[in-house]
Amino acid sequence: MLESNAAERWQRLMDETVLEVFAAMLGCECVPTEPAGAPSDNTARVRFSGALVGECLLLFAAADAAKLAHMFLGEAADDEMAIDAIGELCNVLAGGWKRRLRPPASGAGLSVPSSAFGTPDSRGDLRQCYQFEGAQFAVRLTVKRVKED
Amino acid sequence: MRVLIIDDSALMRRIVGKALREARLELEEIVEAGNGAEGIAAMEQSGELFDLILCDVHMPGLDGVGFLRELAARGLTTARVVMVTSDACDPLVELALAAGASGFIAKPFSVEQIRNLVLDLAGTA
Repeated sequence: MLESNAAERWQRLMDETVLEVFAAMLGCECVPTEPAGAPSDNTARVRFSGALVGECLLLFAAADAAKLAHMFLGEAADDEMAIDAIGELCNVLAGGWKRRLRPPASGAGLSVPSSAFGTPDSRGDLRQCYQFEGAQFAVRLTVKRVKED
Repeated sequence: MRVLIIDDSALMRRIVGKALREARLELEEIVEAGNGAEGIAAMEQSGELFDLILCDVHMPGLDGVGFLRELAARGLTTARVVMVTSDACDPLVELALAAGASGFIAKPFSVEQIRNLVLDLAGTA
């Protein structure tokens, strides 16, 4: 179980990361929201290792994953590219969030992102939905072990 | 300018290529490869040298650091290799710089950052 002050800080750091990444890569705002809409069955996962052990999961509805890919590319994207898009977003968000932690956790390793269809088993220690341009997705962070100065 | 983009994500290769085209640079050709081994093959098959290689750090198979070491082992030379990473704190970035990379760019990046990076490298080539 996470300490509530740590959980709040990590949640704030993820909110900052999401805002920065969407502004820089997609030129749009992405902010926390309440969950709604279609089931999120497109999943991307990045694992942390070393001074931070855990994982970052992203869950998208298929239509919202396609919208993300369209926004990345500026043109319509197929299913494969949509899955690739949420994997890439997961990679950038996981890296951006980890970088905001204090050392040595900020230097922890990241896995290559994996993406799949289907809902994951993990519920995550931190769960938050975000919305952008009429679409939304969920982030689930699991922290099993962390070392921060 | 001839550019080789090495990334296991097809989406990321297209994003980087799009950023290069939008950066109003004089591009002759952009070649794509899905990992370090494909990058080596693209270099060996190409009759001309690449002026710039943008290479992902983390890839299945031959990763970015392995690619740089393989380049050195095979005596393949190119003007610049820039690592692309989602994690500026990644220890592999240090290894890549030690293995011959000219620099790195951290995601998320803007078109302007790509443009400035390429122009800076061209100025120091």
